[in-house]
Amino acid sequence: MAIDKSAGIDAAIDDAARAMTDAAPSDALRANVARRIAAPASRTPAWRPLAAAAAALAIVAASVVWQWAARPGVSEVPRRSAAIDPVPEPSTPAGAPRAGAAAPVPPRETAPVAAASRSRGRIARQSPGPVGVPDAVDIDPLAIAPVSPEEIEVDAVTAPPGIDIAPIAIRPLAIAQVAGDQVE
Amino acid sequence: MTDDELVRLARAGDVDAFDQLVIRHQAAVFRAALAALRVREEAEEAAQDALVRAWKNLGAFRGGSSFKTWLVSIAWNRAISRRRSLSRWFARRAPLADAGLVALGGPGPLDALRHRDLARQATVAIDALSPKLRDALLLAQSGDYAYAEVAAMLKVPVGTVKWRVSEARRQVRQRLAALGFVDGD
Repeated sequence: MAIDKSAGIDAAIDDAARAMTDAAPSDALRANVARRIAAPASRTPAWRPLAAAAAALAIVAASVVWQWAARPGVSEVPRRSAAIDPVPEPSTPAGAPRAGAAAPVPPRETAPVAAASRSRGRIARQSPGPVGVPDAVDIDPLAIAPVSPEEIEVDAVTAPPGIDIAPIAIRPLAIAQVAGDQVE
Repeated sequence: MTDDELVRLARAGDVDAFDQLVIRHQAAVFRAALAALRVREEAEEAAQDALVRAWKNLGAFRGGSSFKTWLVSIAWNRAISRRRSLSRWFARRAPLADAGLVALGGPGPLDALRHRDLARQATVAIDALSPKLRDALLLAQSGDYAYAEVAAMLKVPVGTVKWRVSEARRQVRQRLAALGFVDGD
């Protein structure tokens, strides 16, 4: 592909243009095409980003769970017993009516307690059983206990002294009161 | 076996028939991509995409043109799509590297130097052309495509291709003349 001087500038231009595309494809081109034709659709490159994102998400989730389980001090948290932190039983709420009251419907405050009990049971079921695993998952959830009316201190609030507000007298404005020479 | 017969077999799912078509036309497909992208690795990927796309869309080939024209048109479109990714295009193109592909000629060392300089400057001038002129010139001069095939790739009439090639030559010649390269040296 020598540039023939006698052929002039045009030949040099043509040769240069030809040289810019004068290359053969690699042997891998045909093999890669055959491989991609034979590959199922799920293995096309379009799915690779999704697969990579899913893998990254799984790694992050596993890392978070691992760090939470291996957190120092979690296993040393004392297990709170019912004697220390009693949780009222849903069947005998403290705020329930006393003698004479035959209302079978429990007060609304017992609902969180029952939910807390259910939640605690759920956590206990979720706690890992194998030996060596810290019992960090036995932390009792926050329980909301009902309060009896006698335990509520209410400060007496006296009515504020009355404010003496004089009635406002509205009088019609007389046009004659405004003289022309009084207007600036 | 003709291209049409191979296409018919490939449409019926014959992978080997399509492989024969790949063997026949992969060079033309690759060079079309190389003319657009000017980077070998990019051209390989574009050519690969084009061939796979052709396989998937064989049913769309109506036979209005030759299979080769249809195939290289797909390759050109894939390459142009790639080229539109401007960051990649400007970051990775290396036009001067191809200047070394032009073999040296001439009887003496001075002629050889002058020819090498001329080839390098011609490459630079071609690279400085507008994309429309440069594409037409590179495709027409590659030796792989007739003007009708270039026109099909560029989606312009044959007359437009010829004008672009002529105009590209004129502009390159003008640039070379400004550097002292004129006929009769």
